[in-house]
Amino acid sequence: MVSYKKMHNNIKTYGDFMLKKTFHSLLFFLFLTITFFHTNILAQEKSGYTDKQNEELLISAAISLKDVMQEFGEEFEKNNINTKIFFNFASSGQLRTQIENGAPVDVFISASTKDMDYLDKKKLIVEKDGKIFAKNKLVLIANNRNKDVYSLSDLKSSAIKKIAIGNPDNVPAGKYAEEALAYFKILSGIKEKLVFTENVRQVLNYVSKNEVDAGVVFYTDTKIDKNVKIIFTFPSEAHKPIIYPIALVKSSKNSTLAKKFIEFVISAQGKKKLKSYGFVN
Amino acid sequence: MLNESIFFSIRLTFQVALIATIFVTIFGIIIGYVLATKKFYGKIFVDIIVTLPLILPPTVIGYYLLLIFGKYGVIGSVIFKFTGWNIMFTWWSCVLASFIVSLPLMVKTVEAAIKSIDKSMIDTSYTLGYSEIETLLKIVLPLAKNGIMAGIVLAFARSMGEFGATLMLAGNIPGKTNTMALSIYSLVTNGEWSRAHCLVLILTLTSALFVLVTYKLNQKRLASKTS
Repeated sequence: MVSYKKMHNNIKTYGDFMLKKTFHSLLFFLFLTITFFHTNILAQEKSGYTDKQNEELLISAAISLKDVMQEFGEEFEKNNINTKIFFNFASSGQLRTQIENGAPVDVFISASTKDMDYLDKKKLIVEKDGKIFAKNKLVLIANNRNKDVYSLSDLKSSAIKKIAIGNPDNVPAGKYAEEALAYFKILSGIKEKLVFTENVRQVLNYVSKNEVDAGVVFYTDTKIDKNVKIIFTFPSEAHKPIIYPIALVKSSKNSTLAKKFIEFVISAQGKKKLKSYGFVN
Repeated sequence: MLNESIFFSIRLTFQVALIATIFVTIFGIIIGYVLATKKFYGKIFVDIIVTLPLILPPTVIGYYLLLIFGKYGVIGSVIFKFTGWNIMFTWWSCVLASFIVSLPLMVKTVEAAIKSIDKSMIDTSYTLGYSEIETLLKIVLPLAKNGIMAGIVLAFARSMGEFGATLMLAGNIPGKTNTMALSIYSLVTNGEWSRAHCLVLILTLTSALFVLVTYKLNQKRLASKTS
């Protein structure tokens, strides 16, 4: 490499000066990045080991549980010092695939028994039975300012061009939506209008922003968004029961703490919290 | 809890880009030099494999990386057997994804820079008795300096913007693997636009800065004509 001293002393042209400046600024930037972040690189490594100082849990939960779970997490951290709860929210199908592929998850909470049963068959979870701790209802929603949808049958009208539901392949809410629409014999008539999303909250988002004319989400999702209104609540016979199972993942490296969290969620205190968010019991 | 996640995203993205760029620089210079100066059987295949990540959809890259480094993958399963550790869903998989997509940028830039060096300089060095390594370090690299720096900047910028393959390998775990690009994706799909604003602004400004620096470096390169 050209010696720095030579470069510094032989600035004969403006071009050399600019090169030196650019080189210096890049070095400075690199220096900043390294000094600012090197401590954090070390911190990352530390959290990978079982440090008695800071126990961590990674909880993969169905995204419809996002708001209530975050409250659970904060309270759990307060009641158990030196613990840190990380949440991974996505559709239950995506979470299931991640665990199948070895994701370092401690607790799995899904919005349907299908994904939990799948993992149970593959022997990836522990004790899935008996830990169903919440239920939900399925609703048809539209934007508050929507004047074209007042009932389920309105979905067939030409004024309704796009209806959002979760992707039935990996989103439980989408599967329930398909079942419910088929139950009322509407599904075949509106198939071309369906927009599939990657999780149920995306449906909520699309309806909230008026990107679609209507959508199917869980009752609890409507409680966190003021821009949508419920058009119709599907009766429970229209779809498979919407139940949330919670289970310990077998490969968890922190099973004692994970079990503690599960106990907290299914406790009477937990039930009260879930009820306040609209999760029927 | 959520603001912590945003700051973590920013920190993680720079951390990943920095480490990936270091690896890209080392391997990129070596591969670029070999492709620019050597002739060997199968050279075209090496060229194709190195250049492919530039054109392939990130999901295809993610697919291959999963196949190789996943828990049950070709290399991943072996590593897991001996160490009980797997790269998936750790921030190292973000580095891996960024490395793979940035490498072709570095290789191509370095290759072009080295190819445009006056061959007589290199030949003179050999006739004066320098070995290949000495020539590489004392003649070739300094002359290709501008190209290498442009490559570094491009690699860093590309590493910061990597999304598709990263999502498949690292998941999008807040506090562990959510880079800025991934965070913006989940924030927007969940309707949290205001939180996404901040990250988008930072990424846009840094990317614009990188483009500016690359432009200046290229101007320098064209002006000097020795590299």
